[in-house]
Amino acid sequence: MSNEESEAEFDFSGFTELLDDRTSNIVMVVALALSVVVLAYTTLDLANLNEEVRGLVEGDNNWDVSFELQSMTFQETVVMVDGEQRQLDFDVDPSDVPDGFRVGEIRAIITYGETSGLPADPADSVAANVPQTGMQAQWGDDNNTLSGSSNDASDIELLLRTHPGFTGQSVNASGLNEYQVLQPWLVEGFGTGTFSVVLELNTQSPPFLNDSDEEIVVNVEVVLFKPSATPV
Amino acid sequence: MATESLAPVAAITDLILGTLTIILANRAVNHDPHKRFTALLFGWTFIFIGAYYMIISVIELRYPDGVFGWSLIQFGTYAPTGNGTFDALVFMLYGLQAGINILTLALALHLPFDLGSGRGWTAAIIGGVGVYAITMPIVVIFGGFSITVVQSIMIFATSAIWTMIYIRGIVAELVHGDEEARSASKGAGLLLIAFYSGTMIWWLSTVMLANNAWFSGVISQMSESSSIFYLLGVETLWLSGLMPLVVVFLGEGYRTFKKGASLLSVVIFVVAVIGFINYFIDIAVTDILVSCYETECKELPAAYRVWETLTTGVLSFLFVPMLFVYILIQYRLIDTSSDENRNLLRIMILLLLLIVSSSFIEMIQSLIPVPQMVTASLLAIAVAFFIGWEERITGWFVDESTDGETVVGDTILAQSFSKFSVMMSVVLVYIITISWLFAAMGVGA
Repeated sequence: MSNEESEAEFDFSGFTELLDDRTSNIVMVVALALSVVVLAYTTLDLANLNEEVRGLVEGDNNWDVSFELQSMTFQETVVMVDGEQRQLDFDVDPSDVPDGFRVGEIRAIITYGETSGLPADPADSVAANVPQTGMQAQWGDDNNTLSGSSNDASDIELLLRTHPGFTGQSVNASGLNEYQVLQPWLVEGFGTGTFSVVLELNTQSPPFLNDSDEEIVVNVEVVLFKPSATPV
Repeated sequence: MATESLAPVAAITDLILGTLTIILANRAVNHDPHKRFTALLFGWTFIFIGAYYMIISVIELRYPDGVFGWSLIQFGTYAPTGNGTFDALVFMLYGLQAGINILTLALALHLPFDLGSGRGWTAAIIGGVGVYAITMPIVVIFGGFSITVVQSIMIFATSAIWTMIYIRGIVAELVHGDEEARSASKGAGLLLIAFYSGTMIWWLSTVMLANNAWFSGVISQMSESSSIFYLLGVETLWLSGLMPLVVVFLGEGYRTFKKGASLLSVVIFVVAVIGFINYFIDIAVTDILVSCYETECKELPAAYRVWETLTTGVLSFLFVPMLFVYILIQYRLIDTSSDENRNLLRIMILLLLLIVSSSFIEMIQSLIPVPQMVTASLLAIAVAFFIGWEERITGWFVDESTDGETVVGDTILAQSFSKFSVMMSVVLVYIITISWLFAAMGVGA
């Protein structure tokens, strides 16, 4: 298949020589025909994928994220003497958190009454605060109530937000898919560890009578949530 | 586990080989003019591929976060970043890619057969290469980068020409008993592997649609929906690797059964096996490939990168230059008869082998924690081996095969060689200039 020096301007005898064998041509035609078949079905598949993917990417990507709530409670009753300060620790173990749930916030309610039984004995004064521990939580959140006090036997309510953004209410979010939307709500580690409440008691007694202690009940509620997303 | 990039090695190797090939082609005034011109085409292809890898290396070095794959240029999925230098480098890649594509087509029209001849043929080839290399970068940069897939038609046409030559050669040898026809099928087969191994190693993924699963992840990152013509272009590119692989694999399989193994059959079987394994790797990482739209974008595992480096990297960056040199010498495209040229050739072969072996050792060291003392010793052994066996290795490349006799063509005017070199130099400068200019103007951003 060689080409001799040609006097013509263009000489494509090389091409014609290449195509002058019937067996070779048949093989090539079969190869090309199979290529066309492959090209057709691969392109069709890619076109379908393209439609599906662009539908996801360009579609309405607004989602409503709602939360299924559960709670886990601890209760501890202590009797404290006048002037005493005591720290109560509550361990939130990751293994106690059900599958798919995360710790959203921790509430603590401190209740007490005047139990001395003395006539005209005024309610004692109780102060409570939640000191920062090694627990991963939103310690700087403006909605936290990390300290409180009472001198009229009313409940003291404390609140620590643990999971970022969690308020217990449904939220709107945007994202390509459910997985992406739920990702921020599936971060692990928040709200597990030790939650502490420090109590301080100052008793108040009527003149000439002695009220030197008080019984205080601390209820801790760990609010757990399981997120789910629905397109809106 | 970080793997070393082989792009800088490939850049240096290709640029040196390109320069030496052009020197040898211009020097051999008494050599067959058709072979000289083909060698010149080879030399400039080396230079363009070397420049392409050099820019990839610069991007890897200066913009480690901006590193991207070959597909971004090939499929035109790039979106300008607004960073002038970075954009300019990417624009250059598009220009060089266009140059490589047209030079490859020109090569296919000359090697192993001169498919055209006549007084105007070479002038038409030179003019066609010039016009294409000048207009295509502008079209791609201004027309939106995805338009680059239109080049898939040309890439497929080049692949089809070599596939046809392979079929013609193998049928002539095995059916009609023409032993000399082997040089045609061998040449076409090796050229197909040299230029298309990058897509060939995804042959099963193409057939089984795993490539589409991967590309759907790319689609999800694109700002606009793709037209059916664009998707057709993408698939055509995969097909330009699939079709020759299947043909050469079947041809070499039959020939091996009848006559025993050859270099081409071993290489094509290795490529086919890599493609077979690649499909199952694709299956294993499908979740990651589609993660960008099904979940969130995830990184491919380190083991995948290691495999990619050891297969695609070694094949494209280290093996292909060796294959080019083998073809250049086996088909006598460069004159190896004179002592002066033979010395240059020895330098070329030894340089290539040393660069490739030292890079391969370095790459192994980056993958497996082998002490440096051990790799230094291995390199010393390789050097000693290459020096001691230099004559034999060169002899293997320059063995007295009849392959060179099959490459014949018509007479080419002497001034065509210098004109072609001047034109390609101008094209190279032109690509660099317009890329800087248009990136600085914020074109496409």
